Amino acid sequence: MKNLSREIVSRIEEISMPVKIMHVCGSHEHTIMQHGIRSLITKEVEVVAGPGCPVCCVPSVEINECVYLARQGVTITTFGDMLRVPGSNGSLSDAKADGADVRIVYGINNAVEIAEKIEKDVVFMAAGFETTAPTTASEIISEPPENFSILSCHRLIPPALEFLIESGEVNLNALIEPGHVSTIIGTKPYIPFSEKYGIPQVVAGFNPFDVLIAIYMILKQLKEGKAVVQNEYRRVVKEEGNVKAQKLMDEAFYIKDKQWRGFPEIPDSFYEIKAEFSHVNARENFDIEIEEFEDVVTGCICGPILRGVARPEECTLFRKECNPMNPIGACMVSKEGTCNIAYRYGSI
Amino acid sequence: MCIAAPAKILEIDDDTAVVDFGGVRQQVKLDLVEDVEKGKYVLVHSGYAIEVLTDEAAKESLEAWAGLLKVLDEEE
Repeated sequence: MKNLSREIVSRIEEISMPVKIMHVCGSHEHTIMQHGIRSLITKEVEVVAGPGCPVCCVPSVEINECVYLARQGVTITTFGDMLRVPGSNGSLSDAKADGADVRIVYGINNAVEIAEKIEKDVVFMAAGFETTAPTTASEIISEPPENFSILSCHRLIPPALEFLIESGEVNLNALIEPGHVSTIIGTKPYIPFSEKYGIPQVVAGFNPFDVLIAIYMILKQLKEGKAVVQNEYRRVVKEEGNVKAQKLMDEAFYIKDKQWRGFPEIPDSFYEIKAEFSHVNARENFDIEIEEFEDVVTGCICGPILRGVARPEECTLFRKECNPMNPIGACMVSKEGTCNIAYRYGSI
Repeated sequence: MCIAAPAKILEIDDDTAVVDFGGVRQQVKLDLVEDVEKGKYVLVHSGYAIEVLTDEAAKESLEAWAGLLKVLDEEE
């Protein structure tokens, strides 16, 4: 095992150059921090974390929508990580503490099962990138019970990448693409970024060897003056992706502009439920009243962290007021959040 | 949150299957995949199989990564 990692690290050293590589996946950040990958490779090869945590990217307004419904007596079902994400009016966890019916599920199928058992209205707060969106699409299409609806918070990765590249704020030279988003969408959606912006890209798996090899593949492309999309995670990801899942998403959703936490409105970055399925859309089924609010927590730098321009250690709240027991910003809540991961694995 | 893990299909009943994650069993939905059968491996994300895997892919061996490096060398 050591020999293989040494082999890859020495290959990286041989062709090392000053470069900024961004990944956009909480699981990649987890692998990098848990295995100390940043300390294994030469300092000039900088690997930064982008908006890779769908829980962190849900802005306060969508949390407020759910908290509103929970406080109106609707049963809210969602993934465990969503409960403590702060809205401007508290979190779903706060609503639960006040007596609201908020339940954690492992997948949307469990939320449908709850709706089948109770008579009350059940809403599933559907967060997640393209990996998770097909699971929601399949339930939208398979006629769930009448008391069941969905509040979509599903976001698309490629438009966020284009936004980050276009903004120039990060100055990134290459991208490590998320393996499980790519399992669904395939490798083709990334091609325009290589062609238009000259950025090498590698779709990577989540084992430390996968990440090290992806870094090596990127350096090799740069060294050879190439900018193409390569697939390191070829044992799972097909070039065309999961076509059946893509068809289900096309059937259930349309794509619209939407704000992300830490970002302004990103064009074509959000899956909303199509009008023909409006009976499953919680935004159509309920009058959700959201008051105007300022979406800023004083001192919290979640925004710049999600955009890859700051690290958790630069935040004055990090490890002090903001910690996993008492998260102030969204990036400290989820186990996929950059701050939460940095808290757990420190400066390995 | 896009965490997914390989599991082996033990039983199939219509659009659901019981899978084995090396000891832990779970029911998963098969709506997003095609051509699944008992004994095959699938990649599971939040209660749904999202891809069918070969046996070698599911087992993630060291040889596979060493093999990938070799393939990269040959692609030159």
